[in-house]
Amino acid sequence: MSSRDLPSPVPVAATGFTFVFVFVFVVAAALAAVLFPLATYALTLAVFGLVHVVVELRYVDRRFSSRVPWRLGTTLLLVLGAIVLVRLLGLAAMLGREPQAALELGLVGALVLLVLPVLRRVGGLRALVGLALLGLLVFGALRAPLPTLVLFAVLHNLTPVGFLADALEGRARRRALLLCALVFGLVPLGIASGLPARALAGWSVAGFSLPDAGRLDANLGVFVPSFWQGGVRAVDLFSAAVYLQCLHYAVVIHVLPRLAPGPETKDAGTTNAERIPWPAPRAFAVGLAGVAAVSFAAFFLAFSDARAVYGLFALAHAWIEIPVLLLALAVRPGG
Amino acid sequence: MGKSLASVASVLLLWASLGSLSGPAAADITFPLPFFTHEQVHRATVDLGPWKGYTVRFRTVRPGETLGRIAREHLGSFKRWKEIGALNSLDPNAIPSGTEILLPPVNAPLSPGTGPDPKRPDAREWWDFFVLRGPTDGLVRHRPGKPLPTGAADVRLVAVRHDKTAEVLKRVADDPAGAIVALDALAPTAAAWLARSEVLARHVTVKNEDPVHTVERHWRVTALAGGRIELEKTFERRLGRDGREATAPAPPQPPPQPIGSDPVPEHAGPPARWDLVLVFLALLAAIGIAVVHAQRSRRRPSDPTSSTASA
Repeated sequence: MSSRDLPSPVPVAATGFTFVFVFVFVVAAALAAVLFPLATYALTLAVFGLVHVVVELRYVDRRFSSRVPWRLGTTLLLVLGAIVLVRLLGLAAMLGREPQAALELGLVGALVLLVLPVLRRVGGLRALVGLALLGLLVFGALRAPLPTLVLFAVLHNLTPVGFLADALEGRARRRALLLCALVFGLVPLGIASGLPARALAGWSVAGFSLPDAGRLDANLGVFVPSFWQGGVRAVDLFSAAVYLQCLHYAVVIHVLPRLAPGPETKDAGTTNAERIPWPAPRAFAVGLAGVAAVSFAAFFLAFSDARAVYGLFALAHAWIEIPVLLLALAVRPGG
Repeated sequence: MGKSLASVASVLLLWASLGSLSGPAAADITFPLPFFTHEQVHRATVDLGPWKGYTVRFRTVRPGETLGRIAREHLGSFKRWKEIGALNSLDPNAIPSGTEILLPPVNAPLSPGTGPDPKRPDAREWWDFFVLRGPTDGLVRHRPGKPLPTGAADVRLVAVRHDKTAEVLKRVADDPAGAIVALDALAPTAAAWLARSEVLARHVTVKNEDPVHTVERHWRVTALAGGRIELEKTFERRLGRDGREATAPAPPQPPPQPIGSDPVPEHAGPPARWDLVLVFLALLAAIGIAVVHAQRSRRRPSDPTSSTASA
C-alpha cells in the first residue's frame, strides 16, 4: 500500500460551522494584529506561548516518535541540547549574538544533516528539499545569521501546515491545504502589503500592550530583520507575523491534539505511540491552564526576562520540528 | 524686555522666520502638521526612503515652471526631473503652481534600488528641526520681533539648515511660551516627516542671551504605526560654549532579547543574565524529575488485578 492510500489518521468532518468559526477567527486575528500588533503579540505570547510549546511537543512525540529510530532520535536530542547550551551561553553573555546565532544555525544544519541519509534513501524531491534547507542554513549562518534566525522565527509559524499535510489524506487534506494557502498565505501577505493598516488608520492602538513589553520598535526585531526595521513596511510585516503567530497557536492548541490522540483513545488505528509519559487528558488540560496562568503572570511582571526563559523552551520545539517534518516527508506512519 | 530671555534658565527652541532667513524659495522648509495620520506618515516614509541620512528640501512651484527647470535650477541637471516627479508622485504634465514639492539632495542622485551612502560626511547636510504650534498663517508670516501667536492647534515643523542655526537663534522672538512646543515632546512628530532619516534635535540652553551649552540628540525613526511614530535615540551629546563636546555620547540601551521561535534582535552586547540561566536550569530539572517520576509510576503496576489481566 502506498503512502497515498493510507487512511486519514482521524475522521475529519469539516462542517459549515467549522468554516464559519475559521473565518471569524481569522478576521479577528487579522484585525487584532493590524490594530494592536504589539498587544496581540505580547498577550498571545504570554498566555499561549508556553502552552503551545507543550502541546506541540506532545503532538510531535505522539505523531512522530515511532517514525524516528531510537539512535537517530537520541542524536537529534543531543544536538538539540547543544543548541540550548549555545543559547544559554548567549544569555550568560559568553557569546556575542552574532556568533551565537551562527552557531545555532550551524547546529540546526547538523540536525538536517542527520536526517539527510533517510531522505536520500527515499530520494527525489525530498532529498532536494533537505539539501536546499541545509544550504539555506549554512548560507544564513555564514552570511547573515541574525536575519536568518528572524526568517525561521516567521517560518516556524507555518509548521502546522506541514503537520496537517502529514496527518490528513485525500479530500480532507486537499481542503485543509487550500484553506491553509488562504489563511497562512494570502491573508498575511495582504496584511504585509499595508493596505489593511491604511484602511484602518485612526483605529490603531499600536503602543498598547503589557506593561513591561516596551515599545513597538523594541519588539520589531522579533519578526523583522534590522535592515527593514526603519522601513515603511516594518510594522506591516510585524503585524503579518503576529497574525501568523495567532494562527499557529490556534492550530497547535485546538487542531493538532485532535489529529494525534493519545494511547487513552479507544478508536483503533488512531492512537499514537509516545515516548514521554504525558498526563491523562484532564490532568493535562488542568496543567496547561496552570502553565498559562503562571506564564501570563511572569510576562506581565517581567516581559523580557520571561521571554528569555520562554525562548529556551521554545527553541527546543521550534528546531526539533525541522528534522521531524523532513522525516515526515520520508517516512509515513508505520513505514 | 530684551533680557526676558535671560531670565529663562533653559530655552528649548527658537523660531525660524522662513522667508527672511535664506532668500531662495527652496532653502528652509516648513509645512503643517495638523494631525498626521498613518497615510501621511506612510507617504512621507515612502518618499524619503532613498535619501536616508540626507536632507531634502521643499520648493514651491511658481507659475509656468516645469519639473525640468526646477531640476536644472536646484539639482544642476535637467534630467533629474524624474527624481522630483518620483519623489512627489507628480504628473509632470500637470503641476499646479503653488504646489509645494520635495527636492532630493543635490549630491545624491536617485538610482533605483540604491540609496546614497549616509556615512559619507561630505554628502550629509545636517538640518535642525523645530516644532512650532500656532495658526498656519501666523507662523508663515511671522516676523522677528513680534510675539508668536499662541493657543492655536496647528503644528508646524520648521527645519533650519545646521549652519544657519546660530543666525536663527538670534532671531528668537519674545518669550514663545505656548507657541513653541518643547522639542522633547514633539521630536517624534517632527521625525515623522523625515521618516527613515536621522533626525538631529537640538536643545540650546541660553543664559544672559548667551548659549551656555547645547544638547544634540540624534534620533532614528524605527517604526510607524497607526499614525504614531516610534523613535530611537541613537546618541546624545552635550556641546559646551566653545562648540566642543562636553560629555561622552550615551550608548543606546539594548532592547529585550526575544527568544526561541522569537529570535534575537540585531543589537550587540547584552548583559549576562545568569539569573535567567539558573531559572531555566531549575525549571528543566523540575520537568526532568516529573518525567522520570511519571515513567516510573507508569511502569509500576498500580493495580495487581489489572496488571494480571493485561498480562
